[in-house]
Amino acid sequence: MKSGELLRELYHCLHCHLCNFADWHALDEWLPLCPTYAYFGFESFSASGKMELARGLLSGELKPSPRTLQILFSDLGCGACHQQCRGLTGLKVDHVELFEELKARLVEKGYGPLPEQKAYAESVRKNHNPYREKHEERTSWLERELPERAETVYFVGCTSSYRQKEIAGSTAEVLLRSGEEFTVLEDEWCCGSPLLRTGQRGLAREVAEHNLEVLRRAGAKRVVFSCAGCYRTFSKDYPKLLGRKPELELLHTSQYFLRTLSGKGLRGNGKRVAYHDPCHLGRGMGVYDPPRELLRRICGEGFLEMKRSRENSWCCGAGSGVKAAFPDFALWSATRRLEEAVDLGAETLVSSCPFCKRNLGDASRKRGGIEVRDLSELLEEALA
Amino acid sequence: MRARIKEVERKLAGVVGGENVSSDPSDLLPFERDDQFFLVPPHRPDLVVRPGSTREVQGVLRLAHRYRIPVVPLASGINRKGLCIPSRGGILLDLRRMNRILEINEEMMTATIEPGVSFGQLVNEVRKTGLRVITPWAPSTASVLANYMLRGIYGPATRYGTDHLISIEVVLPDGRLLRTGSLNTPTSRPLPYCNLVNGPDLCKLFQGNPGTMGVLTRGTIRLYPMPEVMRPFMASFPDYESMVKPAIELTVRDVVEACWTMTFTPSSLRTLTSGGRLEGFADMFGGEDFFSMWLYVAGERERAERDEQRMRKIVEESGGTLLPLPPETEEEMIKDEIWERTSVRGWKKGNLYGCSFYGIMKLAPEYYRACREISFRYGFDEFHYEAVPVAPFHGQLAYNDPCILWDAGDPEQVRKMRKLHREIMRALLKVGIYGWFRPFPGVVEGRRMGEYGRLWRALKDLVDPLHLMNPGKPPL
Repeated sequence: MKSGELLRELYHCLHCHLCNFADWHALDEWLPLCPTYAYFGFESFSASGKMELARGLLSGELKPSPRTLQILFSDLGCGACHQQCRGLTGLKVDHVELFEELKARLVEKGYGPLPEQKAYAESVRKNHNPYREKHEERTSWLERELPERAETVYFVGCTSSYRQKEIAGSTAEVLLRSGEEFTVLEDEWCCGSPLLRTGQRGLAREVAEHNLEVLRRAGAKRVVFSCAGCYRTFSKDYPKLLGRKPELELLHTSQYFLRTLSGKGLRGNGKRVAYHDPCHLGRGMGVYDPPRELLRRICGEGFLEMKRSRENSWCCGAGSGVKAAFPDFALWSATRRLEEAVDLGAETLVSSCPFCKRNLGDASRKRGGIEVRDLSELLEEALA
Repeated sequence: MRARIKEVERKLAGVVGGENVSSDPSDLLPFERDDQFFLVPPHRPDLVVRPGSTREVQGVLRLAHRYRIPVVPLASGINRKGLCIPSRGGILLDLRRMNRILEINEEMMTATIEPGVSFGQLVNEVRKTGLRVITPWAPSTASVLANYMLRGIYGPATRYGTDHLISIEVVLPDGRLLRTGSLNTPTSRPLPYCNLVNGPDLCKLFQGNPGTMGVLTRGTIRLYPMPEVMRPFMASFPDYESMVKPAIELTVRDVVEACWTMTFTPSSLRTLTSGGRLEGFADMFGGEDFFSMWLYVAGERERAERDEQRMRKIVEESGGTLLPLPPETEEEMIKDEIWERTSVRGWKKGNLYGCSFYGIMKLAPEYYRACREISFRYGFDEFHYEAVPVAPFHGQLAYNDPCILWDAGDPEQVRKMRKLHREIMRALLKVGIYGWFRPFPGVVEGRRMGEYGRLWRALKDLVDPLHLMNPGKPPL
């Protein structure tokens, strides 16, 4: 949308604040849904408040201040607000896209991102990952030889490569046991998601071009992602960045494993398990059922559904550079999620995104009372 | 001026904590306009303050009083009709931190709550008791107390009316505390459940005012038994006139808890139903307006069954046809009646103009025709109209709302809408109405109200001599 059209559209937010709450008609319960507004409390942090900020910034009425940056760069990009608003009101703006656009325009004008977010962009430029880790150690988790070329490529992502290596290991193990040939990329770069979510678009195109080129060289026809953020970035952002759709089949591991493990027996684990929808996978890509189907095969009756799930899922609080720049807020949001799972009687909270696992895991270590796992880990155990 | 604001900000931080005060434009901008900005020009507050208790509200108002700074209270942030636009700047008092449900008393059938409690929050708790909150035709995010203070329109207003507030606690503009009704009786225990004692009910003095006389910090409201059975119905009629007699009969004989006469032009119906289960419904009417009555039968099973038979007879004898409702629509209508959500569909075009008022039920067709003609003349064909009999029905009291779906992002439409608004008001006064429902600032002309208006102004001067509370807002 051009600035003029966008500005006109912003007058259609009626400040009903339905975007701050889960759909109580569907859930039969009144539950908050916007972590940012619930934590910071000021109207400016709610989606409708940010709509007004957008209006102020686009019209030139508002000069950005450090507070403006705090408000916009603490936005999680979880899409909960858009999910509630769309179809119900006349607002045609996609909240996630709008807030990302605002961040990008601010960065272009020399405002933001926040120092922590800027630092990881510098690391992506230097090390091809936001964690300031050496690029050559990207596949240090890998314990076996894989072919240089394969039709199926597992795109590992930075968090599983450097921080949650157990997810990379489990995913590779399940891929092996599913019997299909695959490989990983020696020269995989950050997908660009942390850059795009924080308005740092400049470098994002370069990493997108690079990743698609190395995938081409590897002979990839299909790419499998254990990271919900990478999956969404390839699927939704690369076409916009590059002006073309990658000619690849893109699948999240939950979708891929549902297909490849259909005939395989999965051993039950006898645990009470709740599933946390990663925002990039659920609201971002509309993938809700595959992880649940796999978990039901493993946990049977032990699979528990939290009230706030699927479209009405509460964000873990890590995304869009929030964990780096607002660690207390990120931890608070994750703790609320853990409490929801504990109240339900779950022993394990499972997600299908390494960044969710990382943040929920941090909260779990602090709070205790529940373990946090990734779907791939449960699948590996179920196949053992 | 800026230095003075900064000084006040520092002092306010001492009252509510620095984390609950801001003068940053980014925190102020969201309060400068609402969706009726075309009638109430945007204006930014100088400060936003978020008190967490009555004591903190008192502290804020004492400071405002000392520094002569206007205060605009806002309860849940659903800011409509320009009522919370700080036309002279000052402090925007955001009461959303005060969201405690202090008591739900099943025996007394009451709830005592703070102003930041929303309908959704309260319904969620009250439902556990078998009691019911009377909810407005507004999103459940709305503040219960703000809505009851401003007298909203409620789904079941036909049976339950609009008066659900018993007693209140108000911080006066200089920081003093006022309690109304039995809250004021010097007994050994606080009893907020009665408004009939200690002289005239001063709670009413503060109703219909958007914080122009003080800041409400708690209130005790009426709850009602949750009906055993609730069934929604939709009936179609050949024209507006044919809906009037049954609407009056259904109300007078207390057959239904809700009776909404609603008419839609085909284009408004098309927009409102787009993307929903009833998409395509508008095409059934061949370019004619759709005249409908939305009815709810509710009560104990035996009564509800009897009422349903009576309702069917009254509707059919008046030329109405009861339409089959898909189960999902029926379920949604029940949920909306208990705790509203979907009324925001009225904004599907982008914006919704409404000029609601109280009038006489038998005149509803005249109101409708006058407003429809003006709407079409200005090129707005997405028009719909609703009239709802309200209890107690003496004087055939009916809430009326001519609604236009429009696009406030289009400057040309904004210009037209300003003119249309004035014309609709003139036309309605000509037909004859009781008065405006929750009016826009400036609509009620106190100076044309003789002694009544003078007394109102004297009362305002007495309570708020510095005119600091939400200046420029109705009723006068």
